[in-house]
Amino acid sequence: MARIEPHDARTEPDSGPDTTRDTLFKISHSLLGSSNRDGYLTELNPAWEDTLGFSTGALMAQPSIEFVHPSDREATLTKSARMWNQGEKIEGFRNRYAKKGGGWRWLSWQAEVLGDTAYFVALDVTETIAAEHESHLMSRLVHGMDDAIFTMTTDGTITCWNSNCEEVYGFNSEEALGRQLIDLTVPGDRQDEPAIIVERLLGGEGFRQCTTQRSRKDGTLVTVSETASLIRDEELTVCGVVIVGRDISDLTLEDTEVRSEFDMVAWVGRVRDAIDEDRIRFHAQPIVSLHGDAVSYELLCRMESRDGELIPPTRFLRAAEVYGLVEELDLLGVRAAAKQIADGHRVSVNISTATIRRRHIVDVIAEQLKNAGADPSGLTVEITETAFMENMDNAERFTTDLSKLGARVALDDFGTGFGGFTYLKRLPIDRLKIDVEFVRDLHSSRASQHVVKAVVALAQGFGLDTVAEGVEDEESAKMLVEFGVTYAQGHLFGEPGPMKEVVGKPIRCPALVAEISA
Amino acid sequence: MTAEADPPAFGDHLIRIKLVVRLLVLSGESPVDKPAMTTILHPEMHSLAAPGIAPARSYENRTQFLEYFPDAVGRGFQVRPDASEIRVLPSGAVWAAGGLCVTTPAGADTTPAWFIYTFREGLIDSLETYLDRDLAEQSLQARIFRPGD
Repeated sequence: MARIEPHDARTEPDSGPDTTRDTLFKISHSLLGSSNRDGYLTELNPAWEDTLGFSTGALMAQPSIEFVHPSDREATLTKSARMWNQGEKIEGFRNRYAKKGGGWRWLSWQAEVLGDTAYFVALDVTETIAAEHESHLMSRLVHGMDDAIFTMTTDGTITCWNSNCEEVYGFNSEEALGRQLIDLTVPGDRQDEPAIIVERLLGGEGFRQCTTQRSRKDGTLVTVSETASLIRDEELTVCGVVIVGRDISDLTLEDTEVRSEFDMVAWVGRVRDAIDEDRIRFHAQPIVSLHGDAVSYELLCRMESRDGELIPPTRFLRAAEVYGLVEELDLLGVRAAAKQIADGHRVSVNISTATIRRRHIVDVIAEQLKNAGADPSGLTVEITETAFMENMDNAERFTTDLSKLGARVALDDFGTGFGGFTYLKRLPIDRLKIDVEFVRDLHSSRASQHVVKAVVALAQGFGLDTVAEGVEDEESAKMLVEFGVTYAQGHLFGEPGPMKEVVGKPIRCPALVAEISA
Repeated sequence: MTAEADPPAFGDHLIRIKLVVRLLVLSGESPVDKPAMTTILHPEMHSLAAPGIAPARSYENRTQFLEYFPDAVGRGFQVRPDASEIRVLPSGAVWAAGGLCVTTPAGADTTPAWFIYTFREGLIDSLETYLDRDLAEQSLQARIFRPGD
């Protein structure tokens, strides 16, 4: 390896020509050869040229150390000296050799001195070393981080489980590897989440810092923030998923749950299925006139689960809004309302911000009413004050078009936003709905009384009706009458229920309504 | 209003009007000068807001009240109050009539408004905003002012 010997000075014991050996020497992918004490390579097989790009002549024309990476030269010379001087065999010594045109190849040496010649076999281990480094780096990353990191196949079988996973989930790697994630840490009501993660990643969507809950080995739940990425092989074929989890139980559970994108993603699939499987229901709640007029109804969306449970919109509406399903829900509501209006009832439905952004949505509503044979004047569309404020142009177009159609517009949750009164002058609004927040404690809160009176005064100034939501007791109902509120709805008069059980049926407190009407 | 309260001492009227004017001016600035406002507002002050102007029924202390302004600006709103009439009532409360200029992302609009201020320990202790004169007057009629208000 380190000293020169003339090319023709091979003195090994069995140096005679041997066809088999010559052939093997030529065809071997291993780098075979010899060197002399002066540090020159003396004979090299063609694999050298294939590996380093230099001709064998060029490699043998100067001391071999010249081809060694500067950082490896000292170790190479030391190893060579011990081989020559002390007869040590070299096994597995690695150094870098220059490649023609730039770059380096890692070689692993096996060498031995016989007489004045050193014979060696070197293997190109560049790829192996790169893989080892990567593996080492990954190992340090996976096991050295504070987060729980595990990998799984796309069908959810756990393939890697770092030590922090044991801290977070309670299972050690022996207990986790090879198990299905849904059997190990996914609670019963979240069993569809691993599949959703994979589906989202395969669909090119990110999955970052989603809050969810996982089961620990001891049966308790832990709130974690999860980030997931696909793992691809060198041909970019997906071969698994890596999930990084962080225990965020210290954060307010309610806060994290409300903000949980994970929840939303899970709900999107359920809403989609419910729409496709005709499991969206509309319950009706009576809206009672406090001045003796006829009753009307607000339709409220519910989702029926496959096992028949009715799920309120607070659980899924946000997800439907964020992921573009709310428009379908809104139009289902309009269709349900149209049927009731065609039967002679007055009905209110809620329309979301996303839906009013659609330029021709009023045309769609008009068509649904027409198809059902419903008079548009029987329809009141409720839009939240915040939806109005988010995009005034859309709100103006929407309300104007609805007004031209002959339908009415109610501002929902009025009084909960900024600057709401400014559009009352400009837009064709018929009704203000006073948020339940101001009604619930009406008889005890001077502030709530102030708001309700002020909303009524504002509404009267613009010639609008008012509806108080969430009326639960007679005392509040009487105060609302005293303050001049036009309509009321709430448990006092009737809870939301299936349309066929509510619409056209007697309200709950007819005597009270008669009294206050009188 | 009752006649229980002692009449304010000489000069108090001017001081109260000055405090109200100062609050009106500071409220219309953007960003509001919170340190300056703290010098005229009582720490335990409360404020009844007008619906359509503010999202809360009431602000229960000075800190909450001061948060209203950056919150509104953060949502694209600015409310600038103005007064064309300010008078001190016999109870010592201050009545102001004027308007609110509300600037929203969709433009600006002005609406008539009425304000009632009460005082404690030389500072503004309450602020009620009304968009309806009758309501403001009814509120005054219904209120029982404490001595020193």
